[in-house]
Amino acid sequence: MRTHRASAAFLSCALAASPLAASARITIVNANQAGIGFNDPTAATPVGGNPGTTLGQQRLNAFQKAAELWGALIDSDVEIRIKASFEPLECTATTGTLGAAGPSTSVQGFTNAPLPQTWYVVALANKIAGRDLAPTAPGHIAAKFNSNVGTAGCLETSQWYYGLDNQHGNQIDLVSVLLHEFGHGLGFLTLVDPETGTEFLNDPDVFEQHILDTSTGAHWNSMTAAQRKASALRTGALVWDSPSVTAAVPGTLSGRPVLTVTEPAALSGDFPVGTADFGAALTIAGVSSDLIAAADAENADGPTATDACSTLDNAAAVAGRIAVVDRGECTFVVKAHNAQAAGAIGLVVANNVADTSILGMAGDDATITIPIASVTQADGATIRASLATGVAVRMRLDPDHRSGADAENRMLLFAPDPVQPGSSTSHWDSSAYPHLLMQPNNSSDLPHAVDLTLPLLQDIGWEAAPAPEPRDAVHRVPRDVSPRPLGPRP
Amino acid sequence: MRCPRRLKAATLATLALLWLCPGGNAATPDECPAVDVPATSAPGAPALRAYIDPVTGKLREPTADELRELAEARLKSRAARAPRVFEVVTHPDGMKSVDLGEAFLFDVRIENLPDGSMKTTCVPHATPAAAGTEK
Repeated sequence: MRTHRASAAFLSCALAASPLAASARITIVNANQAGIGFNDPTAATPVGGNPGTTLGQQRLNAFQKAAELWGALIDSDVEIRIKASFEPLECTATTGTLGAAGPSTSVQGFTNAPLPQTWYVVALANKIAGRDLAPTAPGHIAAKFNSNVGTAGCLETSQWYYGLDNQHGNQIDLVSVLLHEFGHGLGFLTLVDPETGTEFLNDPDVFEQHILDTSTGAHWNSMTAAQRKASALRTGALVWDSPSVTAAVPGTLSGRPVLTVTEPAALSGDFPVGTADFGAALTIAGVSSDLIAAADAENADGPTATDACSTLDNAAAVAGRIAVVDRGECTFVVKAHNAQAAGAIGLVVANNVADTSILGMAGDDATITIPIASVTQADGATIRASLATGVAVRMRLDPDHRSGADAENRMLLFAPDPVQPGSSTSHWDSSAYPHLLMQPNNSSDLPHAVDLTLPLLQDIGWEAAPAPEPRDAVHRVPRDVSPRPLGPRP
Repeated sequence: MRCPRRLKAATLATLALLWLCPGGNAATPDECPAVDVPATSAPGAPALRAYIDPVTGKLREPTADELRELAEARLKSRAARAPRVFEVVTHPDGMKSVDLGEAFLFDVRIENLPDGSMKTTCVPHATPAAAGTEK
């Protein structure tokens, strides 16, 4: 067992962000047997500020680092134990589990419990009660991570990055993944089954108190199971109801990327769009034009005339306009390349999957200079239905609305339809940008920071800084350019 | 009053079936999205389900109706299985505690995509069912 208390340096950072002195002792309980996992004696070269000289020590140091970062930002007089191990987990050559973590115990009716008959994760309950409510449990949080990553038959082209400096390149930054996972263990989750709406053992959890369905005006703890089940699918309507989180949104998130339809009047309004990590960034001024359906040959490159997987046949009509194409059959980059080559000044990709969440488009091609946006399949169909009579649009950033938040700056919770058990509701919405720690897709561009997660944890009972740390210091995002997701969005 | 000291039987969140959303989740980013293998969970165990276009013979994405049918099938399958029993311990001071085991762990999964990029998602760890016993 090793114990780590927030260092003076990190305490200084925390104090700079808040007048509150916050710290907690987070202990990593090494659950590995001798010779494996954290005790793996394989020699390793110190990397990225991690001084460990064995594989096991480097792993443990990364865990300590994540514990240290969290420990500096939350306050508890009761030690938080994380039972942790590195062990072989489910894996194939191309896909697998990196790790898993979450609360190990849930409690209610404890001393000083703010809400009666309401479940709390034990680490939080301990803090509120001022004593260890599960003294015999090996951990308040359980965590196990995959020791086989990067070996034959297990995610062969991936590697853990054990450095502590977030300079992970194409490797998987263990500290970032741990920060996310520990967040769940500290209480960033609801115990409600989103598929049935059923509460855990028929009692609410503290997280539910802040889940607001803006379409009905009701919080989850006041709903029936059937109402919660329906609510979990309301993309864009499920928000975290909290003044502190809402207040932090403008300083954390960029403007919302939208496709504003100006003509015809019947279609006018803003359609939410996803963005690409290549091509020109959207701006507040945006790019305006008529929309035109791109047409290409039905061939081996792409079997439909709307996929833009080959040279466009209607380049003359596309030139100077914003092209509309369908997702699928070839890469986003290929579509953008063909549209740009035909003279398009922008590209709209209509999703070919019935998914209500916003699609980000990964890819890398410095020669693409036009902006690219995606719309849902349903919005794509709506827009296409009006193309014959003309549709005028502006691809832009809406400075009045933050990505990942509603019109009142309330943070959206992840509520895809169909439901995604485990991901639904217990994460921020995937449309938030800059990427947040507790989004479901664990972006690779995260700083070692806890952004809006901190005020959320405060809402459920943690004492911490009242506002998130000044993220721009480590993750500056110009307010007049679009989000640039680095990967697909759930 | 909400079942204070009684044994509670409830159905709990299947936080667990490995559901790689056939939308953004399963879809590859920069490589051909329409030829993504639409992945979803077969009831009870992680699995891949492929949809073949009968005309082209190519893999295709499931329709919205197909997705909903899958979700219904998953729920029916779960209902047919014995629920996991969580032991509710009532302490002398009235506090109740439940050992969650690994029921509420969140898995971080990764997929290496054909274009060389990788996709990570946070998904449920296991399939907790839900019934309580009191101690």
